[in-house]
Amino acid sequence: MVPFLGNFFLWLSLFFVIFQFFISRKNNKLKFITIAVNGLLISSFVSFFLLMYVHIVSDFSVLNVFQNSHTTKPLLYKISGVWGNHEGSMLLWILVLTIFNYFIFKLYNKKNSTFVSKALETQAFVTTGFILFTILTSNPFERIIPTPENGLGFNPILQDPALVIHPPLLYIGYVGFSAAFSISIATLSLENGEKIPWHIYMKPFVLVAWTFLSIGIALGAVWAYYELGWGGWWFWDPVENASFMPWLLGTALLHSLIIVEKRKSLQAWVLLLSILAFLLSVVGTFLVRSGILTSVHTFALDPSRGIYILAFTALLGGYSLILFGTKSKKYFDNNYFTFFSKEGSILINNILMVVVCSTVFLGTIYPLLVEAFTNNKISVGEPYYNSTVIPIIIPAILVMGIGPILSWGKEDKSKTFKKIFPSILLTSIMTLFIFLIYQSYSAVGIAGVILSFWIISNNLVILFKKNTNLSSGMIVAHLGIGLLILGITGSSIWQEEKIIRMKIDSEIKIKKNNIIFKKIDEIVGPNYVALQGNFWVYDKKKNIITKLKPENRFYPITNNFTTEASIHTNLFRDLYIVLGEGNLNDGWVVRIYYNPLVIWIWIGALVIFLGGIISITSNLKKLKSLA
Amino acid sequence: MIINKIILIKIFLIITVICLTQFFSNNSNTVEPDEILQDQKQELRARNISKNIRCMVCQNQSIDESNAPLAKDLRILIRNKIKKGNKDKEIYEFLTNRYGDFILLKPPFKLSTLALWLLPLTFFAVGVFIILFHNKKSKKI
Repeated sequence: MVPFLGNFFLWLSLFFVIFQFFISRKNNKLKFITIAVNGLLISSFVSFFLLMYVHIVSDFSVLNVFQNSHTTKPLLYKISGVWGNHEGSMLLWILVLTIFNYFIFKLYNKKNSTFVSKALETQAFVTTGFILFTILTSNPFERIIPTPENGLGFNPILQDPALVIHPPLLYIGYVGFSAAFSISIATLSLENGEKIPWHIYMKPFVLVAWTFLSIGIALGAVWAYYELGWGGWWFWDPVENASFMPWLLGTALLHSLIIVEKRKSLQAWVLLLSILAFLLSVVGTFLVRSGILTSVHTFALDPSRGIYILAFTALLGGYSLILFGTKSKKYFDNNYFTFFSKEGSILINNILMVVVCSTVFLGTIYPLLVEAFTNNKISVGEPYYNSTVIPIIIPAILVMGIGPILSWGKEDKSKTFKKIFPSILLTSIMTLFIFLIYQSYSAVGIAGVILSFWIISNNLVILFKKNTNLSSGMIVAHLGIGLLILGITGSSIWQEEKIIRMKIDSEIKIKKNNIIFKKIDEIVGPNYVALQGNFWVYDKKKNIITKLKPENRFYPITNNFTTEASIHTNLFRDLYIVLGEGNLNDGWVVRIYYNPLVIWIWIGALVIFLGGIISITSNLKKLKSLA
Repeated sequence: MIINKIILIKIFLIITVICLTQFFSNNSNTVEPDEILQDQKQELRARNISKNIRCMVCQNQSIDESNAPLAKDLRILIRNKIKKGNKDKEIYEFLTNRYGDFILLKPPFKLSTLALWLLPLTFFAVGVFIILFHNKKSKKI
C-alpha cells in the first residue's frame, strides 16, 4: 500500500509540475500558480518521505529497498540508504528542485509578477524533465514479486556519517543553480528584462548553491580521508570533478554578481555563467549516472539513463544558449577595467576560474574522446591535474589576497603598495615561523605556505581596520580559503609514512612519536565483525598521547572487507594508522601516516561555509528591502 | 537458546574473518613491507613511478594506492627493474610497450593528446589577453 501511495504522489507531482508550467505561461493567475507550486512541493515531499518510510521498515517488496537495504543495517544508514542509490537520489534531487521552485515563487509580488511567472515556467520545465526521467527510467517504487526475505545489503564503504549528509548538501548546491538558471532565462526572455533587479533575485540562490556545494565537496573529502584508508582526500576522480566544475563556475558567478550590483557591468557575462553553471551540474549528473565514466563512486550502469539525460541537457543547453545568443545584446556594455581596481581583480578571478573549469572539463572528457575517435585508450589522472590546474590557480590566489582592499574604479599604484605592506610583512613573519616548526623545504611547499598566509594576513588586516564597508561574509570565506590552502599544502608536502610488519609489543617511531602495538582484539559490530588493533602512542617524554584502534572489518552480508583507519588529530598533525593483513607469528602489516595540518582543511571548509551563511543572510535582507 | 545461537554465529563469523584475512591479503592496501627496497633512494624512485602508473583493473587509482594483485605485481616488477639498474625512462617505456598509454596517469605528449596539453595553455593565453585588453582600453577612457 505504502509503495503504491509513494508512486501515486510521484505521479501527482508530475501532474502539478505540468500544471505549473502551463499556468505560469499565462501571467496573473496567482491563485492557480499558488496551488501548483504548493501542490508540487507537498506531493514531492510526501513521495520522498514514503520512500524513506519503506526503507526504514524494510519493505522488501520494493525493488529499491531489496537491492540497497538489509534488516541489520543501523537506522541512520537505512535513512541515508534512500539517497545512497541512483533511484532514491533522483527523488531527493526532485525534492530539492521543488523546494527551490517554492522559494522562487516566494519572490512573487505585484511589480515582478511577469518576471517570476517566467522563472517559474522555466523551473517547471526543468523539474518536469527530471520527474519524467525518474518515472520512466528510475522509478524507486518499482515492486518485486514475490517479496524476498531480506535485502541484498549495501556497500559498507558507504556506512559513514559524512556520507549520510554529503549527497543532500551536494544536491542543494547543484540544484540551487537551477534557480539561477531559471532567473537568467526569465531575464533574457522578457522584453524589459534589463529594468528588473534580476541580479538581486539571483544572488541569494547562487550563494546558497555555492555555500552548500562547498561544504558538500568538503564532506566528500572527509569521507575519502577517513574511509578509503590511505590518507588521501582528493583523487581527481570524475565524480569529484563533476562537483568541482560547477563550484568553480559558481565562484566566478558569485564574484561577477558583485560587479553587476555595484557597477552595472558584466551583465551578459553573468547571465551566461548562470546558465553554464546549471548545465554543468546536469552534465555532471549525466557523466556519473550514465556509467560512461567508471569510477569508485558510480552506482548506476545503465546507458538508457545516460541517453535521456544527454538529450535533456542538449535540449536545455540548446534552448538557453540560443536564447542567450539572440537576446543578450542589450546586456553587453563597454566598460573596461584596469588591473589595479576591485573590478579588475574580480575579472581576473572570473577568467582564471573559467580557465581552471575548462581544463578540468577537458581532462574529464578527454579519455572518452580519445577512445571514441582512435583505437587508443588513455588515462588522465592526478599528475595531469597537478601540472595544469595548480599553475593557473596560483595567480588567482595572489589576486584574491589584494582584490578586496582595492577600490572601485582606478587605484593609485603607490597607495596600493602602502595598503598591502602590512600584509606582506605579516606573511613573511608567519611563513618564517612555520618553516621553523616544520623545517622542510620544497618549492611547492614554500609557495603554498606563502599563498596561504598571504590570504590570511590580508583578511586579518581588513578585520583590524574595521572602518571598511566590506562584506563580513566575504572576509570570513576568504579566511577559510587561506586556512584550506595551509591544510592542503601541509598535508601534501610534509606527509610521512611508515609501512612495516609489526608484532605484538613491538615499537615504531614516526616523527617524535613512539607507537607500541599492544594487542589485537576480535570485535563484533551491528552488521560486521572485525579485527581491532590496539596501538599506544607516546611522546618524547614517554607520556601517553592516545590509544589508536584501527579495524579490519568484514561484512558477511555483502561479503566484503573494509579498513577503518584510526586517527589522532591535533592542530598540528594527524596520526593515521591502518591495519593490514597478518597473523600472530609474522606480525601484521601496519601503515602509519603522519599528516601535518590536515585539520586545517576541514576547519577552512567550515569557515568558508560560515562565510557563505553570513553572506546569505545579508543578501536576504537586501532582497526584503526590495519588496 | 537463542542467545547461544547468536554467540555461536558470532564465533563462527570471527573465525571466518580471521581465516579470510589469512588467505586474502587484499584487505590491506598499497605498498607492503616485504616489497620495500633497502636502498632508500631506489625506493623513493619506485614510489614516484608507482604514483604515475595506473592500476589497470581499478577505477581511478595508481598502483601505489591499489590493493589489487596486479598492482602488487607491477610494483614488484618496477622495483626489480630499478635494482637491475634500469632508468626511470626505460621502465616507463617498458610499461607502455606492454600495456599501452592507458597505464600512464599523466598522458604522454603526442598527436592524440595534443589538445589535452595545449588547450589549457590556450585557455590561459586567451584569458591573459582579455585581461590585458581590458587594462589597455580602460586607460583610454
